[in-house]
Amino acid sequence: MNEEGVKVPLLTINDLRVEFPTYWGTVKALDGVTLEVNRGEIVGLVGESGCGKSVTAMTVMRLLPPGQYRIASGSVKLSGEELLTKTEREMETIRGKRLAMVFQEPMTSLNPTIRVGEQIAEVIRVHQGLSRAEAAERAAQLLHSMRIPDAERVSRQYPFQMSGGMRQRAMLAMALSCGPDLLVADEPTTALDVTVQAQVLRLIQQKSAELGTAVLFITHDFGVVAQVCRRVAVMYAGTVVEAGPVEVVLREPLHPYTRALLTALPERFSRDERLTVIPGSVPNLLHPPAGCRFEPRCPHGDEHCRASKPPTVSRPTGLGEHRVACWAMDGNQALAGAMNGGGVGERGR
Amino acid sequence: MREGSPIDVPLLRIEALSKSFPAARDLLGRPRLKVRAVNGVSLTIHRGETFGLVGESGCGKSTLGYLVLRLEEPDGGRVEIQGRDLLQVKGRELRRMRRRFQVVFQDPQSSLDPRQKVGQIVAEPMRVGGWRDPRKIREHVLELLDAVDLGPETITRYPHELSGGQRQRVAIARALATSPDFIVLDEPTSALDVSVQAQVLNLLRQLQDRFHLTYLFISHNMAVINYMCDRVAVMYLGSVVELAPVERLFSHAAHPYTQALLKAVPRLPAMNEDWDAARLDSAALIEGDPPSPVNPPPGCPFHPRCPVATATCSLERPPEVEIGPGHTVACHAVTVADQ
Amino acid sequence: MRLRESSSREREVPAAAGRRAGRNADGSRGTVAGQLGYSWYLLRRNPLSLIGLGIVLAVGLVALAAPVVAPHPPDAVALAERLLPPGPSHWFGTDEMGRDILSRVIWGARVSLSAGLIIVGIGAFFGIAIGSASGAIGGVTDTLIMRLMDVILAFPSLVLSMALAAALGPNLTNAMLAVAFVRIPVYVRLVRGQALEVREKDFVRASRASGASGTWTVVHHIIPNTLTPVLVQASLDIGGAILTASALSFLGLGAQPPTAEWGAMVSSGRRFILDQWWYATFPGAAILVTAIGFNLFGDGLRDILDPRLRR
Repeated sequence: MNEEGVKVPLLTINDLRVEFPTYWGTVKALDGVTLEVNRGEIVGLVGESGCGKSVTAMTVMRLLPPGQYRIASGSVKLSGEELLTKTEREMETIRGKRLAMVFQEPMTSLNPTIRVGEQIAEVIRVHQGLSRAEAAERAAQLLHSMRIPDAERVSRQYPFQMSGGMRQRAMLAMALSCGPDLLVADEPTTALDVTVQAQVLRLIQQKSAELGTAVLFITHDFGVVAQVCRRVAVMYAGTVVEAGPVEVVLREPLHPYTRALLTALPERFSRDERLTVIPGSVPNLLHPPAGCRFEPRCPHGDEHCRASKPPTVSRPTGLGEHRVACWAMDGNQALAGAMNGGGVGERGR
Repeated sequence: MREGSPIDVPLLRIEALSKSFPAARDLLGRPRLKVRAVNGVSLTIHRGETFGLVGESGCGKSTLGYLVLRLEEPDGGRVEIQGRDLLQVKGRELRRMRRRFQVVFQDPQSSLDPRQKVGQIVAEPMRVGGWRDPRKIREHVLELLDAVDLGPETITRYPHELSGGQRQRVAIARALATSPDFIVLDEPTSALDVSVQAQVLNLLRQLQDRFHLTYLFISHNMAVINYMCDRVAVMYLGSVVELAPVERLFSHAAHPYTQALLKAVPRLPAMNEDWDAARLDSAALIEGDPPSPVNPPPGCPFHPRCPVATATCSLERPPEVEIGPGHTVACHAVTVADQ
Repeated sequence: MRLRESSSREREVPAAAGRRAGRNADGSRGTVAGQLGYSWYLLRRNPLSLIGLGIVLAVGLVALAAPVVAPHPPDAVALAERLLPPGPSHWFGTDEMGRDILSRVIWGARVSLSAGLIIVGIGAFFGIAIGSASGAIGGVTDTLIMRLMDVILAFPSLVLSMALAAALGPNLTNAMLAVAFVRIPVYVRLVRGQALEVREKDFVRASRASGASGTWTVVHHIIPNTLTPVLVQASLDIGGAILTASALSFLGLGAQPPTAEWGAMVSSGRRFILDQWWYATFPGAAILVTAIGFNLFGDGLRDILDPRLRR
């Protein structure tokens, strides 16, 4: 569906650096994030808390609280257009129509005092100029297309009358109402029950295929990534450490962090073994390491890694480009040798 | 327990435990609508084992956990801990008995008093239990913190200065303060990152070996349950629908709900599996949302969503039938012959 | 086999996702000086509250240093110097007994400030006691107490204070008690609301689970966690308390002459307002400025103490 180099990616994030000035200093939240999403593609953005995936999403949407952040460098382009320099008014015409977002907690992103149908209709009216009646009808249709039974009645309900799964579907309906090119989904199923999550994931996949909407799917759950995404980017402490086709990254991870993370999953272990633990902890982003941000916890780190940031190296695979930001990939022979031979993190004793 | 099998002395035995909460009251304060959180659950937990309780929201697993500790008063049924009827004990004696069973909550943020230092938090069960000597208390606190891999400097920190994983470890240290035999763990790692979860799970296993603990492990995460537990009970709308040793549950789930639950979990395909084949099978997904326990349907609680429901299912509650060693199911559609 | 080598001991820092900064590299919150510095930073961002703080400090200093700062004794009668306009020897002029108004205003700061603090102190104390008990016990007791509070709140506060002060006998102490009494329900409501919320928290449950009695839980967990809103309310309230006490004195129900109290001075000065404007104006201005100062400072205090805004 998408061959590298044939199509211009829908979303290009290039070397994005975002900082938050605080009393104690500047928090360097994003330190050179590079990421693409092609048209109609579902790309996963995965990482643990604090890695910067939400900050990335909010930067793309330009929804960071004004005055509290600074974009130090980098670009975010939607269909070739730079978003970072747009004014708020310009962004307002883009949001909803070309760019949409769903959040983790539908209860806080839906207005509890306005009926659901009305909220969806509002988006439609603003961007498509339909009349009230037309928009209301369209809203009910959308809810129906989200597999909500009895959509007419539901569209007249308030959010508190709906279950979590239904609210999330209503959120999706609102986000997809104007057929955006890109949907940014920030942990949309994390707060849902397993069976409901499965339904909503399936729905997202179907809608993406139906409408041709690309999805930037943010999650911490590798299982979800495996099920839903075509490509995945793994983030750690504000950078993308590895990215590529899902099957390649999850089956043959190259970056030590990805490998360690995948081996910390309980599903990988039989009950007689101890889980692998990643030693150390996330760096303080006020004073991050000068070199590779993962080095303090990396079993293979050396002087070179501490001194400077690793470049991103790319290798082609049958399913697409596989990129890793690690010195071991860059011809640092000693390191590469150690990585291939050695384990990944300390295997539980 | 990892070394050997659990000795067959029931540490905890519950019979027909029920609990309802009022959902709405009329003018005089009488409950008009009731939420039947737990509906006649009977279970036995053996000493030294890790017993898992799994289910989605509204199934009553957390409520059951609190009932077992008598943090909520049951409406009916019996709870026997180490042979003693918990529901008959009162006042000071009840408070004394509480030292033998403890709890670790899901949210490390709200389970620690933000106004207290870690040292005070961990020491509280001791003070409540009558310990007076400040040096002895401090010594024991340091021992406990060490047992959960927290350094002595943690003693003067406040909870908000710690990470989620550290807070959860403080909660575990507190639960160990009175040397309990039995700990209820209510989703102890659900709020934690994967790598932190791994640390905490390892720690829990290690502590269980070291202190000969019995766990009631409540979770909605099937992978964690699979890893941690010896036996598992699956709950739906306040009832146990299936109970089995963990390997059997995952390989031979009999109840339609359990099967649907297992299929719905998004998982990483195993190394030798075809990638696309392992994707979510749309046809296998059950429709609808987990129901609210306000007006449970008559008969089997699952029948409105069950793909193999029959007329009987809507009329009669299915009895618990043993279909294998230690494996019971409550389903009309499953007979012994099927297994 | 220990996990010590692999798990961290002290270096786990809450991941700073941009907003949760503010710690030393090892995760600790920093010294007291560091914390004060942060509070100062927050205050600086809100210049009005800095002004409030300045006023409060100024009034406080003046009150403390009254014997030193006041040029004349407040009771020094000098009939030869009656009703003099503001001038070099009497910056605020004199009253009908020849007393220096500036000195009386300065000494009045003591009275007003202590009145404000005592009133709020009593209100908060009983509010916490009643409110936390009510919230913790719940049930019928709670309902009864809250309805009683509603009854008290239903009266216009000033009218009720007046009635109480009059009934108790007009002097400053009784006025303070009356104003405090009328204020108590506000604190009870505040604390009870907090108590209800805190009661449901897991750490309270954990405390019960360790075998703590209800009383222990209330004293050790519920009350400490209701203090912050009380503190904020109290700081905002002091201004109002001073105003009300002054109002009662103005009406003759509080401080009695010859006590130098701002409200009483305004009352006496009313007769002379047309020709001797300074008599009522300066004490009145003192009330105004002090009340504003406490209000502004209270706002700033709320920002400092609100954990969400702290970050």
